[in-house]
Amino acid sequence: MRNAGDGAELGEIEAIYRRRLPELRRVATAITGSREGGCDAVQDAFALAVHRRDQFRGEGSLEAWLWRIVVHRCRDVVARAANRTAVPLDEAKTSTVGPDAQVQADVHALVGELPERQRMALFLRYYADLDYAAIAGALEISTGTVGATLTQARENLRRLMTGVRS
Amino acid sequence: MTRFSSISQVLEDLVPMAAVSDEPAWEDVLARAELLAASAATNGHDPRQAPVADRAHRRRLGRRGVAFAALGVLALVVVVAAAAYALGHPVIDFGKAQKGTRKVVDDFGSMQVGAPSPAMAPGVLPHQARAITTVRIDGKTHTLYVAPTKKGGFCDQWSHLMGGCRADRHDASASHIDTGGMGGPHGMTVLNGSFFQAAGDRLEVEYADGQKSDLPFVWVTAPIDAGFYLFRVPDAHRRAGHQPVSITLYDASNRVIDRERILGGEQPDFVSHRLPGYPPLLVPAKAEWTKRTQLFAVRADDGARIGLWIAPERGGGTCFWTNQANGCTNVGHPVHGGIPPLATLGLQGGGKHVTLCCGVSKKIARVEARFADGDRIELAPKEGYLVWPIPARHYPLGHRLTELVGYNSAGRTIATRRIATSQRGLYPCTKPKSYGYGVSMCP
Repeated sequence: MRNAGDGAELGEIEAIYRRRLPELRRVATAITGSREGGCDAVQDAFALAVHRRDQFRGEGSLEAWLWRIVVHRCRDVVARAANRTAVPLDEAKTSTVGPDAQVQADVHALVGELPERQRMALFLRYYADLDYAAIAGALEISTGTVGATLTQARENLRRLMTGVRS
Repeated sequence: MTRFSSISQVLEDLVPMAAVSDEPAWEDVLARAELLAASAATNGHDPRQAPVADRAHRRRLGRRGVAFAALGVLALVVVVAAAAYALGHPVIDFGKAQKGTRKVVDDFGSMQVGAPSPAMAPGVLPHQARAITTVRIDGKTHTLYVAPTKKGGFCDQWSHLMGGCRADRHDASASHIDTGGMGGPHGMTVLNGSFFQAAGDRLEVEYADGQKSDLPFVWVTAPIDAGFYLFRVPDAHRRAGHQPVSITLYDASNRVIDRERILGGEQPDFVSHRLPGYPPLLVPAKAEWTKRTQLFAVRADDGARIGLWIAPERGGGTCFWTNQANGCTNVGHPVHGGIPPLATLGLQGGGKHVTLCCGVSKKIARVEARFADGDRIELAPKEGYLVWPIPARHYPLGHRLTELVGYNSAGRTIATRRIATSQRGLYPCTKPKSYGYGVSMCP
């Protein structure tokens, strides 16, 4: 039994990582916009969690604490990507532009229209099936706000989808 | 424009469900955590949290003095932006550098999993590989990729050129500039290397004719914390008597931090010879080829002919060579002094056969090879040399060579040596095993 302020056990972190890895990567991919970036962000986030596991105060669930670190790391990745210095590489990259790529581009544009908090809440709810308390913990907002945020997210998304159709 | 029927469809299309790959994911987490701990212990701060501008700025202050502080901030912005394009003294923020491609990750990963044994692996973290900068040499662009190691060092790789590791930033060699490159007939044609000394402010190459010139380098921030250089030796210094001879690292006060001789680029120390029935043989240049004696002529189970020759060494001593190895000693014997009698007898493989080779103390009259399945085979060295193809029946695990025992002429045991059976990629097999990162080897 862990007491508040004792920190998290490495085994507990590992268990959550192993159990939730597909969802963690899916949410991280959604936030960062790339599967590679998402996977890397999850790895970095859990490394940070392992490194700082003594700082877990037990005020909420360990899983919510881990999700919070993952979300923070993903936001950091997005911010860094925006500031990245271009490096000329000698390995030419080719991109495929086809129907799948077009769908991806459209859906990214669509979801990108949502405010960040709504987007995050939607990802955590849909991809990771987190309950309101866990989403609240991950996004550092109140549980009551989660419900309202998700409702707004769905409404906005539907509105945007309608706009797309027309 | 694409049409969407539901929110679920939008989110499914955004990130389709994907299978979790079989990469060593949790181990990678732990390795990254170790790196964080090591960095925190070394630097007193967390490299992922510290603002890079502050650190780079601090570095600039240390180099140029407080009087240049304002200028330093401006210079930093220029430097970071320009860093990828030209080596000068750019400071590259490792955390912001572009991640390596899958191929690059595989290349670094192969350094890890491709090591003959886990103990020899550099501890590199392949997924953290980053593209640092590019240098054009003779019309070709070379990209520097760097990945950290668990011991605070790094592995690096210049595309189309060379790569390597300085895995431990605290080992004996860490205080020296690493000097390497590519050699031509009259000296080095390309110089490359690295250094860990953060106080390093200027690198200088000195040539045999006394001329000197600065070497551009790039500094990479934590967790790498090292400087890197790649330099094309000018044509005027690719001639004998004008070739690069040393590299010196100075601090901001022009005090020498380290000076290293440039090795390599000399005449090759072996020459290629052909003998009927054998592959090209790399023979020590000091060996008197015409005075050679063949001590062994054997066949491996795959049909390959294997030989061992000796010849006098010019200046005294003896040289030997086989299909895969060569060497000389000017003391007249390959094993002497404090070297254990069986120390220079080892396994050579990685192809279609494995051989036991090459030097044995002259005190040893016979060698007994002992195998994991209980088999024992006696071997007779000649003049302090031995080459013997391991029988194919002893390639599989459970049947491999485990011990060598050396006896003197009176039949007394005078040396024993344990042989590891877990060297990956040494013995042939029918089904190579995948170790990840595109590396497949026989276990």
